[in-house]
Amino acid sequence: MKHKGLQVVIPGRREGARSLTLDNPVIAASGTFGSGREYGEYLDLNQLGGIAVKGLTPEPREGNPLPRIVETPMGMLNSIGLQNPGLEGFIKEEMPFLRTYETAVIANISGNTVAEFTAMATRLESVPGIHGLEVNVSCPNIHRGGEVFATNPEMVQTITEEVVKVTTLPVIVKLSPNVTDIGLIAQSAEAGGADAVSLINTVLGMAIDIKTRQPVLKRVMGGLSGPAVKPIALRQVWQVYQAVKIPIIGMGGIMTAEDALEFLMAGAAAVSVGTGNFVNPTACIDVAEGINAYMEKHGLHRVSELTGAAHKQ
Amino acid sequence: MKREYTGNIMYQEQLLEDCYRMVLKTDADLLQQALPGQFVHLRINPLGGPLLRRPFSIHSIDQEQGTLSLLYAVVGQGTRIMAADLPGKTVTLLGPLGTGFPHLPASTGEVVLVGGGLGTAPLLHTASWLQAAGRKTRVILGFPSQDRAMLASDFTQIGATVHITTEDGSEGYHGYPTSLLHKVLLRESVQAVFACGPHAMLENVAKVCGEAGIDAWISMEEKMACGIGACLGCVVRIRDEMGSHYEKACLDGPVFKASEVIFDET
Repeated sequence: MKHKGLQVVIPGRREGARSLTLDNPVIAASGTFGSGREYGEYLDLNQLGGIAVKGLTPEPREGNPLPRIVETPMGMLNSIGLQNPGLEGFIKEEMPFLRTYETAVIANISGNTVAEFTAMATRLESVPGIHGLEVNVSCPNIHRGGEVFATNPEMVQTITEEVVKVTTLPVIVKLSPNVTDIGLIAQSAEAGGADAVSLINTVLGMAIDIKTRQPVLKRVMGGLSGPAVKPIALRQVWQVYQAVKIPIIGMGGIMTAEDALEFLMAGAAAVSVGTGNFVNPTACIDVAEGINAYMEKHGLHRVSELTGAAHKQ
Repeated sequence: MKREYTGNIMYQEQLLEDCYRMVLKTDADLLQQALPGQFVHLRINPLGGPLLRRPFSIHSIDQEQGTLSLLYAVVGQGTRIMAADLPGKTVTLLGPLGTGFPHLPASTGEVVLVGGGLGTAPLLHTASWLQAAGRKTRVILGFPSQDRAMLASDFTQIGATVHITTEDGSEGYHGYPTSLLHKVLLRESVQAVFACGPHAMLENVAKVCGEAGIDAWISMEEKMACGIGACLGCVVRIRDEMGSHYEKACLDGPVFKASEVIFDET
């Protein structure tokens, strides 16, 4: 879906920085869409607002042992463990395919040290067809006893500052919901120079098999996603909208256009569909069409007219 | 472009206390493409929960009636809803998905199908396919006991040779299906073995066939989310020259060459 009214522009804040233009406000969420090949058989990838590709790490990762997923009430837990072909593998195997589409490609990067984040950002700077970086700070920091970067405001600011130094690509910092004050973390990303924040990543959870009396997931804890997390995600988008000026990409349990409209009204400039893709392979396009229909019905000219609407009385 | 299909529940047959066969009317497109060992990804309740789709092997296809059937046991929320579903309800389907049993080169040897319990599900469609291709098909169906045995007549009807095995000896061969398979491999000229069932049985199929030098393919059941290769939830560990790697049960499988599967994690 594309027309002027649906377009979302995330401006680059630094001198010389590129901006990110999405044809519509719906991005396929990282980790749920691979590099688009599989879903490309069910929909025209050119009709998406953007694709946030499966999380990348400097080296290939095999991922976690099974079981990796379990369904929960209107949600699912996953502990895939960032299975991916590594940054170079992705550039070689997936980018030639993605470059055949016009849709904005957002590289989602994960590191265990600040240096790993900057090395990946540096490498991606020169890769044609990459339109933006999404920095996944929900990783353990191996220099700090495995503390998750996302929970520490100084670390989030440091990673953001270091990444924006080495790239002209728009930088989106993806926030974890597993924090006490997400507004504070979003402010750290903003202070570090992020062009946007995306939220929420998955909510930490677990399940136990009462037959074996053991955790279901091999790695015990996993990330909860799906409609079950939507109210949490919406509340955090609301809070972040009040805390920062930079654009928000909202996500968490979006299955329908109605869900997406709530996120826009809570303060999101754009949204992502994640687990919804697993249930409905054309969910991203269905959501974009539904937003468009809502705009037409209510005489709205720009999707930005909806952003933060619920904050205005 | 691939798409989602709708399925209309025509009727259900209760085969055992907790085991059902659901017959769905669906699109001719889907039916014509379906290869043996492939599956459909069913959204049981398009208007509500459970959230995720459920993968079911294609149990049988009736092109004339425009129907396919699924075999399932009531094990959780999704299958409890299915068991209570009445004719006329609409579900949605993705499929046919995955890589099924291979197309074998011409041979006079027979193809032996081994099913453990509900693992029999994909074998009926597979047996029909083999029979239609003029292949001699032998089926070994393993159950705990006579009161859990089912489906033998479905296989004899299409002309396959059928053996029932029970763990307690209450019907047919007394023992596991794999111990009967071992005897069959010693006595008959067998080209290949196709199997589906519990992982312990499949591991034994791999062992028995490996020792006999017979090619075997097994259908692996794993928990799935997307069903099309994107989520990486359903991987299977596969042997290679460098050691091993993960493949996707939904896309590269569910059928794998038995000698390549590493069972440690399953």
